[in-house]
Amino acid sequence: MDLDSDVQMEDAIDQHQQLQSQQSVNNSTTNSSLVLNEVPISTVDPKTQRNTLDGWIEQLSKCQPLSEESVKELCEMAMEVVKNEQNVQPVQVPVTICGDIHGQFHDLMELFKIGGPCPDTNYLFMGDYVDRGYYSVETVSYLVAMKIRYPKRITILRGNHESRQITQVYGFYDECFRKYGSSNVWKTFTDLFDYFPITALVDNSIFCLHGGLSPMIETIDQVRELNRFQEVPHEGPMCDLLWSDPDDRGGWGISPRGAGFTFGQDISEQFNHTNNLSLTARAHQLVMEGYSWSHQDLVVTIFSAPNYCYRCGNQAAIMEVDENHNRDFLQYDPSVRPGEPTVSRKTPDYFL
Amino acid sequence: MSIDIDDAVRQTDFDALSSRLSCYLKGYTPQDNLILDLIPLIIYYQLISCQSEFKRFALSRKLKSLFFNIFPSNLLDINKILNFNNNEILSKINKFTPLKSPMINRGTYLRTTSITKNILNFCNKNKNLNKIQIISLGSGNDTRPFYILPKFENLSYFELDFQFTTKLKKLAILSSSKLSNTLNLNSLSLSNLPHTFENILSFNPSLNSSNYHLIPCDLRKLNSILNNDQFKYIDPFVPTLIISECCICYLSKDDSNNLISFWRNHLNNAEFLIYEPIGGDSSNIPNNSNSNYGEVMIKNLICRGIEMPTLITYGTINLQIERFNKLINIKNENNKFFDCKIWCKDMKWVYDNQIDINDIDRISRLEMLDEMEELNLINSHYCMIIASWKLL
Repeated sequence: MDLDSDVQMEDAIDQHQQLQSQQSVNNSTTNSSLVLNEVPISTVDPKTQRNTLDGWIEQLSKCQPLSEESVKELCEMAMEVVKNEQNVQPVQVPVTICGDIHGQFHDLMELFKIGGPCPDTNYLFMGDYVDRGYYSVETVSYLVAMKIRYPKRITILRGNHESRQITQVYGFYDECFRKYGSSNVWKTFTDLFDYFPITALVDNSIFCLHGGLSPMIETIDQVRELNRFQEVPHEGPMCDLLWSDPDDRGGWGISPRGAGFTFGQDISEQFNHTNNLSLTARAHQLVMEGYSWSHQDLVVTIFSAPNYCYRCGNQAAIMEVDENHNRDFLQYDPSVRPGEPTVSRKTPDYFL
Repeated sequence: MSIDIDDAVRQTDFDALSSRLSCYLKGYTPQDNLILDLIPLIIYYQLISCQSEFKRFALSRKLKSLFFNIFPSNLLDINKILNFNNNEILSKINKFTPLKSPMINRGTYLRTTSITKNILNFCNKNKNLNKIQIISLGSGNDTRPFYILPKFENLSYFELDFQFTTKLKKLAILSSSKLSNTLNLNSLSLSNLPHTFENILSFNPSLNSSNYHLIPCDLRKLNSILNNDQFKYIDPFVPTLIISECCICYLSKDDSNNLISFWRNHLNNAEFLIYEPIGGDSSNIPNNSNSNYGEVMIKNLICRGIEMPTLITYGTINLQIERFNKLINIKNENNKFFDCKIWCKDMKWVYDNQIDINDIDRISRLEMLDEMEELNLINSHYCMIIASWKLL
């Protein structure tokens, strides 16, 4: 039997320990010579840089994770920003609306290339930054840093994966443990997720959220009344907003996901009419073209992780809404990743 | 095919075994309890058969992690392995044990359950006959014989695989009375089994009991089946089920079709039960997301040295039906008349239509699966084929 080139979890931890001890001995500030399968955690102290936040953003844009201390500081700063946002965060046009990212960092960079750099373009992300992909830490760190840097230009909502329970199953917990040697960073981020806004309203016309509608929510004002500062509950209106899916069948249905509901066109018609909306935009479901209309254009699904899980072969998309509320979809394929050796990526699982 | 590719293909058996262990540990497949006895013994013999100390050490780490580090650490001491307390191992499993993802668990459950269900259907409909046979192609470390053979007295079970695979499985079976008793065999004392690289090298990879046979062969070389001493145990006249669970998909188009025709010609009353991936429709390229799945799969598997030569060639249900119509559906040959049936559905259909709703309900409670779209996408790229023929 051949040994494959995947780094075992124990090896990765060994490397970090080695790395850290070596760095404390050398007091070295760079580690470019140690290019192993995992990107080393930088011990650069951002405070020594000209501009702390821009230093972090520059480092993260190279897909290099911050140190544990920096993540802690980053999340404290982010908390101050997002906790004052509303359950239904108002957003102005023009804005580019994006769906699931799932730790596919290089594809997120591709997204910013396709949609235009932030802050020139305003962005609204509808959740699911972590889990599944191999770079959840870098992805969520980058988006959070951009949020602090350009708080009026970028809005980041909470997805069902921004939760303690789900991240323990779908990869973010393991990734934090592998990259930092403990679960501290996972705890820091999941504590921050409790403060993310759960929905957004674009120009009083497009209601944006991760999952879908809830039988317990008839008006947008009812969303405003929720206490969102908590772990995503197993049931109830907040859970539904992050978990539900539109369905061809009318009315409410039991969701095969085990959380949230399915809702039919009659429900969307009623909700959009009651709240004077032109559209409900949501993410949460893999759609092969990157976007998909349902309920006779009352609901749109946007999915922004191309070739999801490095396996699904789907396109990704983002939706531009201009000053006149014209909508345009930009589709894109996985980024080509020069310099990223394929061996550093674990082959996705198949039934073999 | 080079030796390296054979090795990569052989390793897919360990992937499947690891997925089935994950399913068992999560409670999807409680009937598969002997998997806990089989795996540490397979690991032991796999390690012992490494010539280099260094490779043995590296492989030991790899295998431990492949099986989620749940076994006590010393897997080079067979006495300790035989005394492992399974309850103790199980008691250490918790939500932080990094098992396979819920998606893979659900798909593995679907595959295992639906194939087993078809096997049991075959056995049950023939249970009044004197003799029936199952031939499992590329069976690897399948655990089904351990729980299916004891249920049917008229059943003979043949497992065909590379000789290195059958050898390790034979050694594991003979080391454990628990395993060997289910197959009508007596275990051997450890002193009568090989425990060094050289002794394993020269160990006979064939195994025969009254109703269970491990046949070492190369499925690409039909002579290696025909000329095998054990071939005489296969009766061409009794009802026979031939299983290919992700096996012939690793063969070239010609090799796989020759293998199918070989059994079609040799047996008079048999059916194929095949589970394999289908790459999707590639007729409308470019920008057909339907075939992208298959293209991505081919690229991903090449990183592991695995080829699936017919993934696109037989990429849809219709192409598979056409294939088996040609190979199996031959109603009249040399004045012999056959009744033939070809059936093929994708695994999404099987999941929606053939799995007991109560069991779906049961497994839905085991762990949250939040990605139905992905599961449906993947399931629609695997299929189940049943192709039967019967001399009239």
